[in-house]
Amino acid sequence: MRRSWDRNSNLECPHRTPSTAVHHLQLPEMVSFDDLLAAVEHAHGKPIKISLVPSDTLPGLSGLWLETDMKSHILVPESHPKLLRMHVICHEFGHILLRHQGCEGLVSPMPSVFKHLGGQRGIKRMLARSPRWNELEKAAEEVAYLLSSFVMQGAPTPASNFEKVFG
Amino acid sequence: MSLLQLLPSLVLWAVVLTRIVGLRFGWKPGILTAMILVATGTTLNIDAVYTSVDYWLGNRNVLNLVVHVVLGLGMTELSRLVVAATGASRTRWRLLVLAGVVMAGAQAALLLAAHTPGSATNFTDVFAADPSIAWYQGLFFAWIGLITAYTGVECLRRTRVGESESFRIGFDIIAASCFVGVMAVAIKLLLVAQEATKSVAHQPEVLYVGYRSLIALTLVGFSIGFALPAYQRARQQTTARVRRRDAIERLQPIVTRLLKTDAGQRAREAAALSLHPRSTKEQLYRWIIFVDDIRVENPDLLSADESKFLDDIEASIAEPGPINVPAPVGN
Repeated sequence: MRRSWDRNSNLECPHRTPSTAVHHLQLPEMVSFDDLLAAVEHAHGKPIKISLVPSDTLPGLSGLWLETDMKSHILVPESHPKLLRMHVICHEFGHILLRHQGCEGLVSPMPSVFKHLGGQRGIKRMLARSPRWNELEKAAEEVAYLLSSFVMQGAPTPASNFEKVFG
Repeated sequence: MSLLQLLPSLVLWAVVLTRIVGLRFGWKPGILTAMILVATGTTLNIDAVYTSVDYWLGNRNVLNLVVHVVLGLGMTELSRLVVAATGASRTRWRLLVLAGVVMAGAQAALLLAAHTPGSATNFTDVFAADPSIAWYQGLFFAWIGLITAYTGVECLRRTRVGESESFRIGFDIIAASCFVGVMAVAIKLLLVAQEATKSVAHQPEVLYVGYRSLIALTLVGFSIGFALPAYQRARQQTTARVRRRDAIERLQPIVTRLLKTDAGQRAREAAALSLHPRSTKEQLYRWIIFVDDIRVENPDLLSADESKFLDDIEASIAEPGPINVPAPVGN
């Protein structure tokens, strides 16, 4: 699928609540995870690469978002249960959609992170999901709950057009 | 005869009520509008209802026009959905609506131009000798026959790939019902023609009962066809709801116990947790994420059985959807 990213989209709507950030995505009633990722990439204005990493890469964290000029990376511990992994990714989507500014202090305690990124050059933003909940984290978490409801909404969409229309 | 009128009406309203209740559980409106219109028209056409309501409207068969318009709109709406399902151009849909509107206008003009005193449930027998009424009846049934045939053909030609079993069977019944409906319309047109030309009918009573029987069969077929997938969906939703309720009941003591720990207090800040057990997906999801957050940080706070139970719930709710993602992308 060809994807295009709107590089000016980051400049729109600077003050967002979790619900407006999700509403802005204009998601249908139910989406696949891939479609959700595509919608967040579009809103973000750049591609997002999701990587499963060994748990010791992110000590004490359940997820990490790093942004460079060209793309964003979301790292999730591979040992986490599948549902929690999806939730953590949605949490990092929350930071992206809410345009949180990140924290530089996270870089030094996790040198192994850069093995997965090919170096630490060009990182301009970094936010983690950890058990310490401040207002930014709570807002991103609320976005995660909202997004997950779209991914988990109801039964799968039928493949048949007739069933979609009449069902 | 009254059973042939009552039964379709009751079955149609049962389907309508089921669909209305389904709206509360996230069902799409789908055929609801069409079914309400067809059920209304069918109910108004019951002899006892017809004479009572028409008497109230002036005792000159204005209700017959109302029934025609309501049934015509219902079948046109059904055809609109068929057009949408087949992905046909909007031009076809616009033509359909235009023809329906012209037909409704022509029907009103023809009925109002004629003199039709006294509510008559056997409208064709009594008035079809009047050319206006013959055209009025003929045009209406020709239109209904046309859109019913179109609906039947498209339902029969549809691609069945990806359909659930109940939907496939239901729609095959609907396709068959459409053709039964076309046969009914053909008989009705024959009766109208006989009355209009004042020709002697061969066993008109047989034709009349045949027409009523085929119409009843068509409407009951429609109802069963639409009810089957609705029944299947309701059963699936009930099963899922029971499963969620059981999971929440078993999770509640775990959540309550974990909330008393330091890790639980920290995790609660983000989870906006309610301890009131509601068997909603949202509730179950929040509780699972809450317990998972604690489990990955402090695995010792959960027993092996509890962890296994949690894995089982997660697998069951992750199964149908795409949440088995993400696949590793690079490393």
